[in-house]
Parts: sequence; structure tokens; C-alpha cells
Amino acid sequence: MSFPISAGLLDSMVLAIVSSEDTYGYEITQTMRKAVDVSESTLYPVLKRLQKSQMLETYDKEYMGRNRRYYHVTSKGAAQLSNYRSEWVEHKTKVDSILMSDAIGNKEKIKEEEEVLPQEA
Amino acid sequence: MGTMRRLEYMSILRQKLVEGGLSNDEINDALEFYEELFLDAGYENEEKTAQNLGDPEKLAAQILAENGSVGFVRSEYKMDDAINNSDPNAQKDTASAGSYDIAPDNRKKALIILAICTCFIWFPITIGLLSAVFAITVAMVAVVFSIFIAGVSTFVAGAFTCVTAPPVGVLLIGVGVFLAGLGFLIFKPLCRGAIGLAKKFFGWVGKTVRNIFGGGNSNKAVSENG
Repeated sequence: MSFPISAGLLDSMVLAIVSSEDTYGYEITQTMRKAVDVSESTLYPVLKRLQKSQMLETYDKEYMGRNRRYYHVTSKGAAQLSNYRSEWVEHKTKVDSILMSDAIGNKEKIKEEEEVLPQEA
Repeated sequence: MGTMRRLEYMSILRQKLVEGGLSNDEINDALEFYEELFLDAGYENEEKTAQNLGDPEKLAAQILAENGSVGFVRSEYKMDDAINNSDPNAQKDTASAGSYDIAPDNRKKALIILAICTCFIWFPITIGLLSAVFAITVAMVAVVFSIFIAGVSTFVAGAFTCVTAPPVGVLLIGVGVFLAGLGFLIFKPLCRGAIGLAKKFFGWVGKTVRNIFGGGNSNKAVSENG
């Protein structure tokens, strides 16, 4: 892909996934891979980092006779996520203002895309 | 590695993590995470999962690098390359040609130590250079200022000479106005340039110090070459 995914973007996407519902490693990796081309091995460090900075906490739940580790967004993580979201909207708007500037016919398209963005920001 | 399954993959991963000197807690944590991925992906998908995860040795090196427990890791094993690179064959090629590099955390520490150890060399040099630049700047400002003063005094002298020898007086007034104007013209941009330079310099010093001693909380780009 032409546009590299930054660490901050990975963090915010993982936070967003977990914030909608407590979930486990495999599901997080699968959700991420739907949107961006990241290796499954990239997400372990991201989750560790978010735990270390107390954005995420974990608990174990039994599933089919084994433990499954669930991730939960802390209040600190939720605050950070909302920061990330407003930063992203700002970033996206600025990039679009240049990248999409001569696409006069596409203005409605941009509007549609903006509406798809998370509304909580 | 095409037919590697969970057990084989996990045992290689464990072995490499142990060899890397990672703490038991960290090893168990990582192994549990990847074991879970295998199990959740399903028994029938074990080979595919192994392929998605890539070379277990490489994964181990990446985990070790992230934990900063080892000083030296292969540079290709770092996070930067793991992302956007889910094709295991592409990873294999670079792995064999691995050059040794210092992990980011240790690199920062090494830089600080190096800076302190060599301070008896760079400190005098830096001070010397700084004073030279400062002296040159002050000298330039002084020269320009003196041109301006010379102009003013020539103008005054010309005004008096007008009484005794009018043509010479007018000439002197003209020269005086010329010099004063010249000095005035140069003075302002010179001062602005000197101030701008000083601002830039101190900004750079501040940034460098922050980069070396500051925490790693900046959002560094994970991949430059996606």
C-alpha cells in the first residue's frame, strides 16, 4: 500500500475495536485485517503497548475448556480514543483539502465518506 | 515451513524466546497470545495461521526487540518491516542477509553515553565555534553601525563646512547622507538575520536535546516503506 500505517493509527484502531465490545486477540486481528494489510504478528506488540500504557486491561474467560484473554478499554483508553478520533478527523480533513481539491465533481463523495467516520469524536 | 503446524511453530517460538533471554512472564504472555490465535483460527487452519504469522524465528526476534531485553537484534526483525509484510517468502529473503543493529531503546542509551564520554572533545569545540559565530556577528553589526555613525558625523561636518566652503560642504552632506542611508539599509536585515539564526540554532539545540533525552511517547511511524 502507498500509505504506511503509523503506530498511532494502529493504536487508535485497536482501541476503537475493543471499545465497541470487549474482545479477544484473534477477533481483533481479523477485524484489523479487514481494513489494513497488517501481519497478525504486528498486533501483539500493539496490544502489549496499550496494556503497558494502561489504555487496555485484560481478563480471562473460559471458552471450550481453555482460557481466552479478553481486552477491555480503560477510562484512560477511552479518553485517548476520543483524542485519536478528533485528531484523525482533523488530519483527514486537512489531507482531503489538498488531495481531493480538484475533484469538484467528487465533493458529494467526500461528504459521504465523512459521514461514515465515527461520530463520537 | 510450508507445512508447519501449531505445535511445531509454538515450540520453535518458545525455544527462540528462551534463547533470547526473555523473562518467563513475557515468554508465557507471548506464547499464550499466539497459541490463542492458532486455536481461535481453528484446527483446520493451523498451516494458514502459521503462514500468516511468518517465520517463527523472525517473530521471536521481533518480540525480543519490542521488549528491549536484548541489545543486538537483526535490523530486519524490527517492527518496521514486519508490518505490511504478511508474505512469509518475502521476509525470508531479507532475513538471511541480516546485518546487526542496536535496538531503538538501547540506541538512545548508547547515544547518551557516547555524548557524555566524548564531551571533553565536543564541548570545547562547540564553545569555540559558538564564540566565533557570536564574535563575527557582533563585528558585522559594529561595522555597519559605524558606517551609519560615520555618515551622520560627515553630514554634520558638511553642514558646518557649508558656511566656509559651500561646494565642499554640499559634497560632505551628500556623502554623509549616503553613508547613513547605507548603514541604515544594511543594519535592519542584518539584525533580523542574526536574530533569526539565533532562534533557529536554539530551536535546533532544544529539539536535539529533547530527542535524545525525551521519552519515547512520540508517534513514530511504524513503516516508511509500505
